[in-house]
Amino acid sequence: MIGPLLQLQCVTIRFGGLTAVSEVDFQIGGRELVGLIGPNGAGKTTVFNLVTGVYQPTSGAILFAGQPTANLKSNQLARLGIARTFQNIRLFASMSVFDNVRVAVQLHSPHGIRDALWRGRGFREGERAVETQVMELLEIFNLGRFRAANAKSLPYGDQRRLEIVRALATRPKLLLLDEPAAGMNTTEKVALTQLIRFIKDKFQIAVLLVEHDMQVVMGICERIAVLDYGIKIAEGSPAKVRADPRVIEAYLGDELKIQN
Amino acid sequence: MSEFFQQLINGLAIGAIYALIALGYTMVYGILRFINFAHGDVFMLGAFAGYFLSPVVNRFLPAQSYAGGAVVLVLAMAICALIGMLIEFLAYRPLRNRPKLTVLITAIGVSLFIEYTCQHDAVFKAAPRKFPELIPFTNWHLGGLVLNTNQVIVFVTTMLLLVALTVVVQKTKVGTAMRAVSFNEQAAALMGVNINRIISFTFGLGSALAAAGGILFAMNYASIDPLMGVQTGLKAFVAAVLGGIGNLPGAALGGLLLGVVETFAGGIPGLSNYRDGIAFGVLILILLFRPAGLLGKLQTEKV
Amino acid sequence: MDNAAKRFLFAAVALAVIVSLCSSYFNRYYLGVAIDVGINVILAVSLNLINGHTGQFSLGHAGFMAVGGYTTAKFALLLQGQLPPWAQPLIFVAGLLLGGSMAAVAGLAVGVPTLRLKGDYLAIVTLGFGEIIRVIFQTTEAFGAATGLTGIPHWTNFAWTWSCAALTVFVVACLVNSTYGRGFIAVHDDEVAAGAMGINPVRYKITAFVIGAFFAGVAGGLYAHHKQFLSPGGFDFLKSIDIVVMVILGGMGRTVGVIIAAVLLTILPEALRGFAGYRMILYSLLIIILMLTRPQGLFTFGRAAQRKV
Ligand SMILES: Nc1ncnc2c1ncn2[C@@H]1O[C@H](COP(=O)(O)OP(=O)(O)OP(=O)(O)O)[C@@H](O)[C@H]1O
Ligand SMILES: [Mg+2]
Repeated sequence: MIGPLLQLQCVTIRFGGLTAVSEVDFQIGGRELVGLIGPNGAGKTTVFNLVTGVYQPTSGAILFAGQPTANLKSNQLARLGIARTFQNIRLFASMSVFDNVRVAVQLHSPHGIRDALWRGRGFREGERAVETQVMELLEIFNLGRFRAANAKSLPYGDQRRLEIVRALATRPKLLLLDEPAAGMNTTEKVALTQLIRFIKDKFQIAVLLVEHDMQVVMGICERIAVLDYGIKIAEGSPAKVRADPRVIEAYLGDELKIQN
Repeated sequence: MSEFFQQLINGLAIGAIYALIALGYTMVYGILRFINFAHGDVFMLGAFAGYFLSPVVNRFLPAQSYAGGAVVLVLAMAICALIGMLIEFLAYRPLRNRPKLTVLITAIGVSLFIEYTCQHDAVFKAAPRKFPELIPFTNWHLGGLVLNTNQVIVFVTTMLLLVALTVVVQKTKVGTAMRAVSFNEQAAALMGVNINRIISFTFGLGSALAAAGGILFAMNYASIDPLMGVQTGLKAFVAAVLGGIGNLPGAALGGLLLGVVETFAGGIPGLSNYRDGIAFGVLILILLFRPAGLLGKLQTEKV
Repeated sequence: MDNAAKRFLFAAVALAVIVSLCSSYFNRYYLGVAIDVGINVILAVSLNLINGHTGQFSLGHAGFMAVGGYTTAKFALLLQGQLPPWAQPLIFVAGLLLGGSMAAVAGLAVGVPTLRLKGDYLAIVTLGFGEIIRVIFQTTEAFGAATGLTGIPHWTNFAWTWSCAALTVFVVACLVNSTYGRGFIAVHDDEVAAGAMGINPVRYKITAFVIGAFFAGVAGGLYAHHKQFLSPGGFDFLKSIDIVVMVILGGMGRTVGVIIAAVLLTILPEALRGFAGYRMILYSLLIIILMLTRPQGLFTFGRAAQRKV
């Protein structure tokens, strides 16, 4: 494929008087691992919601694989190959770990209502194939042993990883991770860093990572974009971004002001 | 032309009653975010309270006098305020912070309980009763229009109660606390507002208004029965949604508007049979085209 | 063949037919109650698809039942004299299918405009739709207006009722217990997350309404040919509440629990006949106490499968 996988062109969204994302230009290539950082309330999650069709931009355009995504619903975008996790974990609370992933695999299942009712051979084979796929995915992430447990009963870190598995089960081209390391301890964070790299290589996809933990972000991202008050204030390699005075200002601005 | 104004007056009269009941729905929704399904039955109890109080009051004050009527009204409002607070205490308070639908089903249960208990032979019996005339009745003719005392009383009482409610909500300490709880319950609690007291007060206030509505309704239609709150209550709820649920001026506006729409639509030959369906038709149209109601604000879900 | 579901369906239908063939040995009153139970099982299980599995809390199920009942009955009344007696079962089946389909259309008409609504708002609006449907029948002369339809042939028997009940259970259970069907529950649990996983919430919600309404319509048809009389008052909002209570009592989204609840709540009022005056008071108290003490249903144990009401 030629050209970037995801492209934001001068994207703006307003909620009442608040401009949560302001004229952001941004793109990401087919196999890139890009970080999106910024202080609290900078608009990172809102960018995810725009890209996944939860919100429609007030102005500007978003293109996925060259195709404008205006007016496409979340589920249509998922079909095109955008998957995500949520900052405030949104697993399916009444389902088992296994079923949480099974729901996501459904996207590529050819069997609909009629097959589910007729229960013919094709359907039963399809269901077995789905089961194998789900178990394979769960095993890769060491979650197989929890398959029958209720998703919300898992430890916090495992819930975050289950959300990643569930997103991967839709076979995305672009994976959006919203603060996957939140609430994890240092060992878990190291494991997560390796996991993200592994995912990118194994599944050959692009990853956009929102994360507050700088060690995680700086450690794995090839490129980083920085948002502040909805405006993109910097973009470049981790080293370049780290040295950018505007970024330092954005992160430390308040504290510096207090000190002076 | 005069027929138009006559219909308008009739519509506003019933609409004013809807408005009084709608205020109770809207206040409770504003604070607890749930639909108090039993509110229509408090309206019915208000009418019955008036029915039983009237002979008692007549022992001290002359029958069919404004003073007697006013005393009946105030006493019925007080009784229903207590009933409303009791319902909240017994049925809804234990369910605070439970899913909204649990509370809704409970409210439906409370509503059915009141209706069936009242229909029982040992209580009010199911048959309709004739409501006593509380005030001297006269018809006034203004040009081609007929306006009767009851209608005037409806307008005057509703206006007075609306003004009183506005003063309570805007100018008093309790009212400020009510608004605070409605805006953010947790923050209000942290500021030292006694949430339970405020919720109790809200139910009392709403129920008192419903009782007033019940008596005004009974004065205008002369007949009361234990199921009179079902349709009227639902319509008042529609009025609250029409105005924007949780919004006090909205409830008043929605009530008046619904009364007028219903009366005019009822006057159209083909539609008159569908009178009871009209309110729901209105409800569905609003929710389709302006889900937040006329004066309400739409909220988007944060993801 | 690992096809337990199909075997269940055939076994249940066979059993229903056998019992029906022996029906002359049974007490007529009990047989009548057994048919009432079957009809309520259909209503409760079909509503469970909408309310329990998909989470679109609807309070208008009686409206769909009314559409099916009136359609089936009117169809039979129009054709009854025209065709030879052997065609009766055909008219009946065609009538039930027609009634179910009309109810499904009504389900579509309710499901689409209410897509955006949630929780108690949705409940009240569906209640409104149910009432509108009732008012329409109450004012249409062709359907007997306020008096209703009388002289409907007595075609419903044990076999038909319980075969339809088995079919309803089969359809709802098979639908939900498949990879496709987990989508209903996903929509119930979290619409935003479901959308992000490629599930189309709109489609699932409408499907639930249409299928649920279809079976409610079939139940209405069975009811019409069982009671031989239809009046609009029988489909008021109280009937919807009855069905909702069955679903809640059984535990939202629990098929077996809902069936047990439907059986219990049909038999209980019969058993309470002696206390006619207090029956409904007790019933309403039961609702309140149930919601205060066990809102997740009587037959729900274990945390994993609990659905919030
Ligand atoms: N649906 C909404 N309605 C109104 N305001 C919103 C909405 N969604 C987000 N906002 C506002 O937009 C701004 C950006 O929010 P966003 O959640 O995107 O920040 P963020 O960068 O993800 O912050 P954090 O690091 O805390 O997650 C915030 O001020 C937030 O309150
Ligand atoms: Mg965020």
